[in-house]
Amino acid sequence: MTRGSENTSRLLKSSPSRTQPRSNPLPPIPDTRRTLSPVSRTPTTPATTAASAVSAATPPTAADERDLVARLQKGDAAAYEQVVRDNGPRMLAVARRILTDESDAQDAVQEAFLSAFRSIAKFEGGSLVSTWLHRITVNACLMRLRKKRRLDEVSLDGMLPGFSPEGYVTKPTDTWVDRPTSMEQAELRATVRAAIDKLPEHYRIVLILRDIEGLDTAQTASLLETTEAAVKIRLHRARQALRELLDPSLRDHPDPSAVPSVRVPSPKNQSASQGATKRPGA
Amino acid sequence: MSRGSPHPHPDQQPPQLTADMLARLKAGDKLCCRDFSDFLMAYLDGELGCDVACRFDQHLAKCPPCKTYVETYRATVQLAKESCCPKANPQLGKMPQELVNAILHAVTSEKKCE
Repeated sequence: MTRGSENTSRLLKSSPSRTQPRSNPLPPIPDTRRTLSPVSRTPTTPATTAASAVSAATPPTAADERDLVARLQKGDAAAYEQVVRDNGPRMLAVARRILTDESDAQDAVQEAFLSAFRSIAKFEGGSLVSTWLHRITVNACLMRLRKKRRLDEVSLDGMLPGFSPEGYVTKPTDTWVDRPTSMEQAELRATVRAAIDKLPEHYRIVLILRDIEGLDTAQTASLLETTEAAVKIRLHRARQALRELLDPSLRDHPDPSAVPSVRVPSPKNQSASQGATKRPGA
Repeated sequence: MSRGSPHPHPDQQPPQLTADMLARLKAGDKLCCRDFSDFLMAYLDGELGCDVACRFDQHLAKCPPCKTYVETYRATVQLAKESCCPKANPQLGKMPQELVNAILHAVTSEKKCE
């Protein structure tokens, strides 16, 4: 965050795309909800856990990747465990952001791993295993969302900036506070995540896929089965809405007429009101 | 077309918005804050033509509210990334041991059935 004057050149670039050649088609995600194994505690070997910790800390070389794929294709149980431990946390983080429900997120990750291991024989190595798993996870989450078909979609009304009939800003804008201390930073990040969760679903998903997961416009459009133009406009609206939701909490000089729009979730916090939309005279 | 035209639907396709905005600029209308806001992402991504981008540069230089808006818009994007990045927020990817076990158990069970 910055305050005061700043170079006004077009410095914000599109989110860096983690483009990988899509030579490995995404395997179908079967609906395994009724056949998922019950959660149970199965002891793992300390040696396997240690090996996983080391491999998770350093990026794999091309030889490491080839070796891992070969072991997976041979059905090496230790290789499976390594892949789950190395990639599971990130996959779960993605699923939690997209699905918001913890149970759904864990089920989606389990489905994704099962689907991946079932189709490992077809993996040709055109991308990193981690990238391939990431795509499978995103796909699994989106399929779950499509099946849910939420009918109570929150409107974006009230989350976009307001203008006079002549098209000029009506709400006073203010710079945002400088980066807070580390403790405040944790609370700030929780506030931001809560605000993202408040966004209407199909705007939230685009923001997550583009700005957080780093997929490019074409990849996002393909996954969402929509056009690139739709992805672009939804991303912009999502960013605008998120900015409006965060503004009351971050502005340098609190607007006394504004209602705080987002609070860090607490057990008793049921809901948060939307961003301030009062329009003082221009 | 006037600046007073209603705010477009949030999902209105960019080409339609672009044509409308370009027509108004060509007709001599000044670039208003709403246009600046609607096309901010395209402007920041360098997707507007030179002529239009220059008009945006001029508006930005003269409009403190829009200048602040750009700063906070960019901060919003950065905050979203920082707040959701698993490396910076390891608790977001904390994986229960039970889930690891369940996955490995499911994989092992499938292999035994093959």
